[in-house]
Amino acid sequence: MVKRIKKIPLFMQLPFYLLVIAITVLSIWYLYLHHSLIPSTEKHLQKIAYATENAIQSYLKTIEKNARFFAEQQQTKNFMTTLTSLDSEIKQQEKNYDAFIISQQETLYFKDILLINLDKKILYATTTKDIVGQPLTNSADSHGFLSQSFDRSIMSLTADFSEYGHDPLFKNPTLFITVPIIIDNKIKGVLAYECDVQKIASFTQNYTGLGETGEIVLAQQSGSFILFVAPSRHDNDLAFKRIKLFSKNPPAIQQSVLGKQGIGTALDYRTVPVVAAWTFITKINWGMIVKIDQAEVLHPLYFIIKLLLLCFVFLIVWAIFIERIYHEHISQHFVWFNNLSVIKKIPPTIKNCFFFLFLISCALLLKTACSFYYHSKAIVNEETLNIIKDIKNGAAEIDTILKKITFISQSIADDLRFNRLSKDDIAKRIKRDLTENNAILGITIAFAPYKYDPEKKLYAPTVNKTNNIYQETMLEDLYDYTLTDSQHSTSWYHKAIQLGSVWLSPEKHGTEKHSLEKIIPAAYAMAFFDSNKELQGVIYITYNFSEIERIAAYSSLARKGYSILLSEHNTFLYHPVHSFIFSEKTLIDYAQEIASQSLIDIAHKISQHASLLSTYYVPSDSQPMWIYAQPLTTNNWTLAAIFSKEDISMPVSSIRHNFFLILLYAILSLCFLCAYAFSFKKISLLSCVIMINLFFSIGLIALWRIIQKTPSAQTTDSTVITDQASLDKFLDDLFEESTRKQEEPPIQIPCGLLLYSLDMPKPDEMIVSGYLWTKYDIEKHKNITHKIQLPHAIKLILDTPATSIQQNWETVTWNIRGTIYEKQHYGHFPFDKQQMQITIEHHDIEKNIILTPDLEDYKKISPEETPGLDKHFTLSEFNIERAFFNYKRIEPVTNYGFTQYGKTTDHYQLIYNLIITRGLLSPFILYFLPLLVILFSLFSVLVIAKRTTEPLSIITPYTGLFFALVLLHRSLREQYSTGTTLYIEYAFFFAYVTIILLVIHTVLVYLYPHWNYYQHKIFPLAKLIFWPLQLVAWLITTFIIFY
Amino acid sequence: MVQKKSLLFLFIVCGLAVVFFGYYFFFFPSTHETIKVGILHSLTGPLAEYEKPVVNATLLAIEEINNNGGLLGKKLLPIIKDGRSITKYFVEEARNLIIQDKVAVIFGCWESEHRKAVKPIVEHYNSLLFYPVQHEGLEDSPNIVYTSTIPNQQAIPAVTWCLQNLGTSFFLVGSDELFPRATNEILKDTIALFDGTVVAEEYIDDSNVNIEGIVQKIVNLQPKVIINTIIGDNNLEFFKQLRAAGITSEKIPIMSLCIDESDLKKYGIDYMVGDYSAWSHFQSIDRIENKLFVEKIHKKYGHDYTVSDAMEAAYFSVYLWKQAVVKANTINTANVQISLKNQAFDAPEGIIYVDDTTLHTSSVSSIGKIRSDKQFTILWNSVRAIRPMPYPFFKSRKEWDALLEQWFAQWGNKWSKE
Repeated sequence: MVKRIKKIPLFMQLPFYLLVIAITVLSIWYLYLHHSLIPSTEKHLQKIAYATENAIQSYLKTIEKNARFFAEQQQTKNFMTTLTSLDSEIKQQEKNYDAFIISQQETLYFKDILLINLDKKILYATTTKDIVGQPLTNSADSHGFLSQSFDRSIMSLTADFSEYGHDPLFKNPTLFITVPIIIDNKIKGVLAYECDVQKIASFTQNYTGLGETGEIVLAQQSGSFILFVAPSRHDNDLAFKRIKLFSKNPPAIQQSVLGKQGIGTALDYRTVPVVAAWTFITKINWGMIVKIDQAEVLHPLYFIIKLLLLCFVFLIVWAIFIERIYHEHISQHFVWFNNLSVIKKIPPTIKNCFFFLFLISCALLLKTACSFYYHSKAIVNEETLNIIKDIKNGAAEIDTILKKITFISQSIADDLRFNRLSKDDIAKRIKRDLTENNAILGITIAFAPYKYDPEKKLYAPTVNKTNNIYQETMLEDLYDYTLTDSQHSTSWYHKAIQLGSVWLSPEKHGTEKHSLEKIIPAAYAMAFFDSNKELQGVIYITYNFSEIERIAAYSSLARKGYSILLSEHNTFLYHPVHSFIFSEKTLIDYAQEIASQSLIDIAHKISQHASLLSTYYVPSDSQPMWIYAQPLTTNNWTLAAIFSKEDISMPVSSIRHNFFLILLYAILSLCFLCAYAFSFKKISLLSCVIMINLFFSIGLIALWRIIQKTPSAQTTDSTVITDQASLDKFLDDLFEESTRKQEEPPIQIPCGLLLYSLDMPKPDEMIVSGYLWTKYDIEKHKNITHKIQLPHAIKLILDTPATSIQQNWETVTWNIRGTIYEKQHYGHFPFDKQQMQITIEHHDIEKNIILTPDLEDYKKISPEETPGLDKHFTLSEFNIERAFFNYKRIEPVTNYGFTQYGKTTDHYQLIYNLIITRGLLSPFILYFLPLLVILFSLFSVLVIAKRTTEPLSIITPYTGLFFALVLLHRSLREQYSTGTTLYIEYAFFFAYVTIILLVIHTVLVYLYPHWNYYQHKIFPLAKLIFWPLQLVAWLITTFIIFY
Repeated sequence: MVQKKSLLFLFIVCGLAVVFFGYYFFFFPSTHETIKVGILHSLTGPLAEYEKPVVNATLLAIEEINNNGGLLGKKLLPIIKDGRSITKYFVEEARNLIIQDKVAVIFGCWESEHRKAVKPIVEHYNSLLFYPVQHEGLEDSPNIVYTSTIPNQQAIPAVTWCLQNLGTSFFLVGSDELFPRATNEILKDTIALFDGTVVAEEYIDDSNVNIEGIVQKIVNLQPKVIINTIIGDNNLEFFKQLRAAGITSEKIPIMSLCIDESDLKKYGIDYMVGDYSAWSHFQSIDRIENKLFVEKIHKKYGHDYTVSDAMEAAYFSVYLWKQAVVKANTINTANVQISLKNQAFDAPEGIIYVDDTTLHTSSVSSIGKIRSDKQFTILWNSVRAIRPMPYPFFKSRKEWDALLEQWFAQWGNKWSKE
């Protein structure tokens, strides 16, 4: 080839050599960067991470030294002695100590110094004097981090760093170092040194070497959350935002808060792919991540790819240029390759480029199909295993709680049997067991008649714990537990004697969470005997069942999935629908209710207490449901998960991508096969084109079908409420966040909606009618206005409400009619999907109110069963897909003039969502069919027209069809006026371009009758490629828009 | 002409193959090379029953690291040496591991006596020893990483918890060895700090076992709490005789500092249920990391296997060293010593880290109550790891060293009376 090129003038050869050198250099450069860019960035970031960590560590060392300095100072010791001895000179001493502390503030970097005595009472504070005299809070709810640090410091006699978080006393986030104060070999208290966290955060605000997107983020583990502790470059409000630990796509910071060091590529808190280095800051247990966006790191690679593409384009242009100008057939330079003996032996049927293209397409098709199959199977398996693991862990957790209870009763029984527990010490012993076990609410040791004392019939000391207050009673004074009493449930005594031991389920009443009350708490009763195996009595332990409910409810299941806890008799101890619990419905009852024979069989197997993974079918649902049941080892309860395979399979977007690729490779394979057959004259050119048209048409229809079946995912920052469990979980998190911010507990107002009609007259408006109701507790909510508002309503008519009172609740119901602003997105028309949202707010926005979906008032709450829609509700052009409530997180932009506005509840809006998909019949008849007719007409004119036909007689029908097309397009635009281009509009654009090309073609044929190449080659070809070009354009557009 | 072209074609194919394989080997180096790591524990003798599980926990961590791609692209090769429960063999084998086997690190030693004997060896050859057993502190070395608890992480929290929950008068009983002696010395100061009293302090040595006399003394003095630092089988006899004398866990509770799950399995719980122990790790700790660790041990060594505090420390010791090597990017001791500082790990007990000044790890402190299923109910834990304080502030470092020397001389230049 080079030899042949040498025939071309040198100045024309030069670009070829330069391009070859450029491509070689760029390729090597690309390969080098591809393997070195991320590792070198990781190392660079790691150095920054270590340097920042070292800087923070040395600062922590310094402040720890400062804290020790204060604790060891004679002034501190003297003042502490004065404070603890109630000396009359406290005031004078305080002044002196104030002066001493303030003189040190500049050099020793503290924010506040506290002196706390051994009773955890604050005796002195430098800057926040109003907390003096108050005890440190120890409640787990209020995050008594200072109290915990105090305990560690006192119990280990070591300086300790507290956890960083909102302190209920300071009403601010605080970080303390606690140091024991020892005076004359006696411990007197603790000095708490409040650190300046801003100073620590300032180490992370140096972005040198971090490019344009790099930043350093600090976070700590806070329960089951990752809590960010400082603002970042990308988010000034990042401090105190939280994300769930061990989420599905965990951010890189998760590694660091769990004490790990490392480097790698991962997602960050914004879910942006980043290159990162993470480390752990000991002493304060913070995680730190230094990161740069992957896009910035890989930017040089993209640049090289662009350069490479440019070089290739130049090379092709150069080759075409040489071919045309110098008549040098570049392809002929590869003749030597065909002359190779090895190549010569290959039969020409195989040595065909279409055959190779066919093989490549088939290989890609096979590879994509196989990888899709195995990948989706692996995802389902992995997700199933995760659910099994969750349920097993949940069962193990519940078992641990129950085992503790059995252990306590067993050890009391053993101690009584072997006389290790004297009868005088019983109350003391019960109290100790109650202190040591938070889950236990009360213990009764009920002696059998005359077993405690031959002269006393009954003896049953009882200690109950309520809010850490112990109440001692004698049960026999209340009722005779040996008798069957209708008023007092004494079944525990008799069942324990009969069975040895028995687990008693909690008995509840009420239909909804806020009125669900426990009449009888969950309990365990065990008979105990003396060394001669003679019955002595029954140990009766009541325990807190809510922890077990929490474990059962919070299994991380998919959208349709939920967990249940079954008793030994198969009744629901926990179910997201609470009415199942209080009505003591069994799994078999439920299975019979939904007429699922397979679930009945499973329920029977579960009652035999075997762990199982099985599927069952609900006649009303096409999808099979899966159930995994794990029996507990302590008693015969079973924890089970019920989930749909659809929800644990590959994400819909990935399924669509894979289907698109499979279809693309299949169409290509078939087209190349046709071309291959044509190249060996097995089929005519016309047959080949018809077949290709057929494949393209089928492909296009298949693409539309895939689009319909795989709707694009909704990505909104919201919490979807599908059942009571998801609502409880949201509320728990909300209450936790609210407590953390030192706010009053949110007021829950149940709220419901029923829509009778919905219409969308304009692209940004919807007209709705229906009912809206709220429920108010007559006692607790008397200061709350009974009014609701729809903030997005343009026009709203709320009729005079109807009110009804039931038990302690007042229900206020409004008939609503109005127009609500709702932007509709027509970009994918006619394959568009609309999410109609009705935002509901309570009138008293200044109050700490959170509206909660009144799920109990809907018969069915699964989104697929469209709660909130009247049973006759229909939409003419749309199919209703789902309806559900969700909470959207918002950042208020104003306080509406209320200084109190901006509380946790103000960051969440309750939204009723209706997901609708467009029916295809109307768009097909109104737009697609006429468009096809126009295209067929154009094609007919093209086919009929001959070289000799008068051009004006051809152009006239083109013009007429153009006007028809314009009118059709105009009517489409009028109906769906939007700022974006509709998907169907691309077909109109292609039709316009086709008309222009046809007119040009007609003119060329008429004006250049002697241009043989055009007259004999292009003229017939135009007829052949008309439809393939149309269909390819549609296919490519569909692929690009919906991929 | 055609032949020349064929040769050219062949040449291009060979060139491409060379480039491909060169690229492959450059970016994906072979993992056939190994890094030798030493494990020095007693596989024979009386201590073998305690130390073998620790060896197994160490091997489990090594196996996990190897299964996950090794370290610096190399596999870890454990070289196990038997200390035979005798100090001189520990010294001999430590030297062999460093000089002959050229190991990068040693994981091992059991009693303080072994560690103190091996310390000069690792310091002389600038090697590294990870010591996974609770000890008395009062020592630090740039060549030893102490991964279990010392008194301010175990004994002091145990006693302060007793002071807050059980009573203020204490009876201290222990074996006549370094750990009990030193720990009790620290505890006496701690009890005094909180206005508590030590009614008596008694020691048992194997040559003069007088448990009966000690129990009688306890009966006579009626302390509120017994702090037990007896090591080994004398524990069973002590508990038996206490129960025989009518002292139940309700009457005078015992806080043991040397009884773990493996002891409960060995001695049974008939005499011990209801009493207390303090450790950084209990098998029953309710953490996912702990459950996974226990599951791994059970899967590998059987479901009856008991997981102890020392096993946990041995397990995370390997990971701490691995992380330090990764950070240093070398196994060179000098570099690893630097990178070990502040190295953290999410251990079964909680997140722990190596203190940058003392090379002791921080430890979560927990108090457990002995259950009838030979496990512990956790009554209190420190939530976060407590930082190590090898030399408690009651005495200066010089004074503590002098006291150690005094005991050493008293025991005939040994670290125990035996």
